Amino acid sequence: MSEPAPYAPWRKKPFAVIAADAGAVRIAAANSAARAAGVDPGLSLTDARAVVPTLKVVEADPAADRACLDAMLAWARRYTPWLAIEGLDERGGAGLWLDITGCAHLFGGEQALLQDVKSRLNRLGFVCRLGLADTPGAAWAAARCLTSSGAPACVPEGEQRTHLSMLPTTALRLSPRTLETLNRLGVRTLADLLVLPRAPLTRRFGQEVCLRLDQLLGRVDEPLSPEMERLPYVARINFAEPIGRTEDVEAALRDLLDSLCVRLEKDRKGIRRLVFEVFRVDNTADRIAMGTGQAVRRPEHLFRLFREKIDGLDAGFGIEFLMLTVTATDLMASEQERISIGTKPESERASQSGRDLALLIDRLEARLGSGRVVRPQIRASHIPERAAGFVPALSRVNQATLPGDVREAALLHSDFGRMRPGARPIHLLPKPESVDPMPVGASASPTQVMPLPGFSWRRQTYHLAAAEGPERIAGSWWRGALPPDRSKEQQSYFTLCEDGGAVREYWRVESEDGARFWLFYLPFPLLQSRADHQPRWFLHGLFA
Amino acid sequence: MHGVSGTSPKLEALREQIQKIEGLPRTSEDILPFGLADIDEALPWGGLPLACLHHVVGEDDALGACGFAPSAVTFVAALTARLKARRKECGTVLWCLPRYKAADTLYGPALNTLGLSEDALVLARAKDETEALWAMEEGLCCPDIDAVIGSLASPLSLAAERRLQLAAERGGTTGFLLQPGLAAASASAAVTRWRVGAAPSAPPLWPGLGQTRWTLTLDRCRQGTPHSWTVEWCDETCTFRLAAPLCDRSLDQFPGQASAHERTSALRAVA
Repeated sequence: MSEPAPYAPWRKKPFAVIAADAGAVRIAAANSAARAAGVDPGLSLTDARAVVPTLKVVEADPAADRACLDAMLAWARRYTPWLAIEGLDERGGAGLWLDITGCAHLFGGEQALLQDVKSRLNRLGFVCRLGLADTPGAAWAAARCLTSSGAPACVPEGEQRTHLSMLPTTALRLSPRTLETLNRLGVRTLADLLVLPRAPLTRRFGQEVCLRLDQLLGRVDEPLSPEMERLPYVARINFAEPIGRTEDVEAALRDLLDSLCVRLEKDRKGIRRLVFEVFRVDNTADRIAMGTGQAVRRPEHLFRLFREKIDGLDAGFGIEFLMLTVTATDLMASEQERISIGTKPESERASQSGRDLALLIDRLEARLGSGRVVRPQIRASHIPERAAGFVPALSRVNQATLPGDVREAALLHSDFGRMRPGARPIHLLPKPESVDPMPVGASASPTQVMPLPGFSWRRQTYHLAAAEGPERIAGSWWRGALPPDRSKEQQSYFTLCEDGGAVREYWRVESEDGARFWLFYLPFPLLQSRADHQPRWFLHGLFA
Repeated sequence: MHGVSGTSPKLEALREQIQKIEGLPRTSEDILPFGLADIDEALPWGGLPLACLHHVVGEDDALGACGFAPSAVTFVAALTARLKARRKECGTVLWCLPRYKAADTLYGPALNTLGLSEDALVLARAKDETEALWAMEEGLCCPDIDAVIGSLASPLSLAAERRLQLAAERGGTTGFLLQPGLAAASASAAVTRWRVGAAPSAPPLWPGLGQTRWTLTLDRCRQGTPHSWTVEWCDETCTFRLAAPLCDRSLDQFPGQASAHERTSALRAVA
């Protein structure tokens, strides 16, 4: 099958799919018009263009091919539940296997079924080749070598040998190397092959040739492994009488979770997102969506996630039915459940380590809201407020997502944020707060190096006893100079402080009763014109 | 309790039973020593008992009025870091705090130097104190958590504290209830109650700041008696030590320092 609907206008013109292969762009597949003109799969694009200058090409997209095959498989489920995909490869394109044993009579016989498949596919815009036979091998051969006129090829029951013996050896699913060797030996058709003694064939080619031949003739079984239908993970419970009590809803939710988790366990999957819907008798509904940080399959954990929200549920006139839908899953290996609960032997702690934490974080996030459970993150920056940040607790920090200049700095100084102990305050105010410095001379102690005798902050006055500094921290000067016209108000002042390269002189000071502060002084006023009115001293942090 | 000796085995058995009921530790594994003989001796267990609730309040001073208690925060952070280091596993500390309050201004690089690295700490920023308490209780029940710290501004009811204490016993996790500046020492279900405040540091022999000093008060202690110490906190080694008796800051008693100052001022004059 080839050429899905979007390429329908090109059906009559030479058209090919190309793929890069071993350093050259080659034709992966070509339509009948192109093949008639001499463009065969395997030809390089340059050669193909030389043969057919008007050749239309499009790049191969294996993922889209696979998705299309999956969709067709779902479509073909109307004929039989026993379906399989034959993947794309060099032996003649992809295909679908339909095992119609016991199904043909529902469509009025084998011929009628074939016609039905063909007409429906044609209507969908697909060109198809259909082969029907006793064995998959024979059907494969019939579909590829007996359908030159376009009509479905049907090999009558038990007559593979008579019907297919004149076919070329390419009708067997052999590797290109084997085919080439057979060709060189003069073995061109199946009839040639069938008369050869088996022992020398096996000695020369291994099992391959005889196996394919036996599969075609039905001497060896070739089971199809069917693609199972993926049922959505939905569980639903109906009530004979409307319910309204929270306990009843909880009990029902437990049942739903149990049934879903058993199914997920079988499929080795875990829940990432889940929607719980409550349908009331008056045709109104409520939905509670829930996400987890990592795949989960433990009903009691999921139940605890929901329990926080069930309390706020309004039962109205009564609840008619409940539905639980898994909207996202992740692969999750099977695990052995813990047997003892409550005790914590060391070995158990180690084996379980990390799982419980992730579950706890899920539970906290479910109640506190997403983004409320965080880990501190240390960033490579010399500017204090930029050196620290927060990331969601379950995410792993990805260096690549950091801004470019930070990443460069991180490469230069891999442990930028790891300061000398005691150099940074335990509390850092989100925004530096301006303080009123005491006039110099009010309580001067002449021997200490003192930037200022005291200050008042949040209506409290602190007299300083000792100080250490200054630690001069320049802004990110590489981000460009201050735009002269934007620094109008106090509001924009601090954004400029961060981005524009204002220099700050940090002092660690201790008040008379021992409290320690991190103050900074702006040695150069940002606005020369209004230098007198601008605060110059700021409080940025508190030390222990 | 350990000091009492020479009693009948019956009495010993009874004591053991009471201790069991109280849920206090019996083995040395459940005890975190301060590494400071004076403090460890003042505690009846020879250290800080684990798997229970401790109450740490900041001094009721000007900073406490603004909701800050940097000394108490550092004290608790240092204790949990020490606890985590002792366990040898990659445990985690859960810090529950109401967001948009003074408590939510913790600075990562400083916590890092205290020994609470960024992968060892999870912050739960609650909407209000009720949510923070709920998060604390959840954390105390989780076996992967080594310690839970709750920064709360208002005093708790006895029932709430008792609930946390029971959760800590059940989960085997140590809880720290951290409150800035609480005036009255009300009844408490916590096993110990500490008051941490900044104390003026001793001037060093060079211009600048001396070692951080705290007044560390053991306000309440089950089976123990209150005590008070002035300790010096060493940033470099993350250890406490008892401060030498505090001296007046006048320079007469520190001739060495005076000379150091003179030297620096002379240098400055030359510069």
